[in-house]
Amino acid sequence: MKKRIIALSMIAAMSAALPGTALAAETSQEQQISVTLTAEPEYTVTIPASVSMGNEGTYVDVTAEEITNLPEGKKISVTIAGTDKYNDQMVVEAQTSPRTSLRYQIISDDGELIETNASTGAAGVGKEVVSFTENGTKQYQIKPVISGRYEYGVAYTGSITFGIEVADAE
Amino acid sequence: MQNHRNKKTALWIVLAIIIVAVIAVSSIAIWNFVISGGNEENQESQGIVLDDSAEDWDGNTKDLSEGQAGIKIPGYGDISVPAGESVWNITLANPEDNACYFRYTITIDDDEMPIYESDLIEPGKAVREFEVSEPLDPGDYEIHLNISTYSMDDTMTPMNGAVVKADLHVI
Repeated sequence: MKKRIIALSMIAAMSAALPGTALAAETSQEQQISVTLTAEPEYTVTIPASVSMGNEGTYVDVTAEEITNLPEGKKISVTIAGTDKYNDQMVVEAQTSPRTSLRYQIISDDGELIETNASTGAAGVGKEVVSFTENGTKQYQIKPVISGRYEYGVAYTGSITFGIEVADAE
Repeated sequence: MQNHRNKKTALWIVLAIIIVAVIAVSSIAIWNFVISGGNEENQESQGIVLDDSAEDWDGNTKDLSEGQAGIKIPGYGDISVPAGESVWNITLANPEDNACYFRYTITIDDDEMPIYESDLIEPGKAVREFEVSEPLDPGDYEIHLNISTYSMDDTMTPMNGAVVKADLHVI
């Protein structure tokens, strides 16, 4: 009786295993795997929409969110990459006659003064405004340099191009 | 008997302090009332008219960015594309929350000639596959995703933009 039970168990085990093996062989022969990878964004940085400030200047928010896969020892660096004005000057202009402009300065999150100044040779391109190692909001300060010829009650406009990249954290 | 006299003296002292305090407070209140009324009359008699619409101003730098809409810029880490292939699969997105058009212009390393320029991309849309003008040889490069932004009204005024840099591996 005992031998009969053992024999039946072996037959059952073999019959269960054989079709599975056959199916696996069949699948590996017929199934083709096709994957097209698309490079997806790994973080989002929210920059201000325009250069906007009052007489006393203003604080501007820059936010980093949805950060994924940021390696250890790295940071997301936000810099000044350029402006819409000649030679990347940090100025805003108004449609006055004759045309007038106002210089502006940025004080980075680390307290560094960023400006363009022909007499001192100061340039803004490449200077870091804020940086992030995790999700969060940081601020920089922007303020006009009120000097020279300018007019009240008119809109002075301009735009900044920000450089955004993953860089080495200091 | 002595104890009773001490208690009576202490009570008189407390009462005296209260009376003096009440008189002092009343005097100050009356003085302020008289002074303010007099000033108003003086200013009017001198022709000074204060502007009712003038607001309080603390003189400090104010956060004018509160509630101001920003522009969400997607950033990239390392990007890999196949060597010799002119069709690249990179998601060039304009996040849904933005109120502006995006135009992507892609350049490689220091070369100023774009290898791809998109048309205007609306908020909430993305180009996920595009053709570059020139396939690249295997190697490591720096890719520059230049994002120009424009207002969504008839003027299409340029707004602040960004250059997103990333490492490009051509394999």
